[in-house]
Amino acid sequence: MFLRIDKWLVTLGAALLMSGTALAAGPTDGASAEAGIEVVAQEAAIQLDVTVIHATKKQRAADGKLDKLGRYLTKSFKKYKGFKQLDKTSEKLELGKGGSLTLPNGKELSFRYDGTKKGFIQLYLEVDGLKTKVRVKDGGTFFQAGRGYKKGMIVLAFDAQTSK
Amino acid sequence: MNANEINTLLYLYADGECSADEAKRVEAALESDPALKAELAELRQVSMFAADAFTSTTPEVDLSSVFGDVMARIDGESVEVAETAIDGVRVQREATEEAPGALAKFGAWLKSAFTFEAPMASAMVAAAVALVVGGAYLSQGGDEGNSNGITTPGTTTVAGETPRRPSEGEVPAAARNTAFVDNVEVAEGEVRIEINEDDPEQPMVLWHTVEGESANTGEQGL
Repeated sequence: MFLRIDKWLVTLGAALLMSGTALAAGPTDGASAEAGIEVVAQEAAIQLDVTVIHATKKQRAADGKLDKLGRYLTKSFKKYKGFKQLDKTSEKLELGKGGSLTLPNGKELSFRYDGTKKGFIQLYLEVDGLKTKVRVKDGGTFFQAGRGYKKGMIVLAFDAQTSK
Repeated sequence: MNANEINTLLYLYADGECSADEAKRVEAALESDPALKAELAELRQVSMFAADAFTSTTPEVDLSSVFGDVMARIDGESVEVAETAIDGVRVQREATEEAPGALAKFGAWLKSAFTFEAPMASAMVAAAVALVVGGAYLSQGGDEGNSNGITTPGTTTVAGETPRRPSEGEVPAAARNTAFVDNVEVAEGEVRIEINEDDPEQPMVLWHTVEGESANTGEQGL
């Protein structure tokens, strides 16, 4: 009986050691990224393009300035028929640095580059009461939308890629 | 005539092989010796049994199936145990053992692992179980949204699907516009995150709506 307990302890200890080693080497949970600015940068700077778009349900001519965004907009906002570019800014952001943009509705958009990890660019955004941290794949695009403006809404398109 | 000569002649006399003269002498000895008479009677009785053994007939024995049974046994292992051709003689079939299959070998290894006959095997099994349990625990889904409509960071809500928290760095193979929300705070209104899982190339939309504003996002862009 004692011998069997002894064997159990040895086996359990070995199993815990091996599994602990394997788990520690594996990917970590995403919650760890919430701790402030988790600087894990491999890239010193990124290029961030912010496009301000006015979306309306009323049909209007396609805005040539929107270029590739037009295809994404029509699929993401199917209830809206017209899209017009109101403003655009393109900034090179160094690690930990940010910028701002005044929107047509008078609100202020603030953004900051918080680093990159595993091919994803970490951004901090703040606009009209919304504060958020977003990870977007290098070279990818995402939208922020919903606030009303002139019988339509404001759509912000963010394109982020590491500087080459 | 001495006793030895009489005993010798007695056997010949019992078998009827004495001469006339010898027979007279034996008969004379028999008349005077009752013990000799008893011995003669015993000798004659034995002779009678022996004669019966040689002259009586034996019951016939059927040996016709013996050859067939033996040949059948030689031809194949599947021959049934033959009925005895001769009383008391039994044909035996050797038992054959098949080589243990892969499943039997694995079962034997597993048994040795759980009974600690092979400590390393036991450790491997225990480590595998611990890894599976630990991995399943860590890969569980994220939190649900609260009643104010503000979704918990990292969750996605698409037309009633169950919120799912992607792990950090999770990247579908060809999804260029993959994005995740790590956390979100709002002073007022509601936040919804839309990701088109049917089309990973479609960019994520982070909705922030405030009731009463002109933007109608009842059924979001999808």
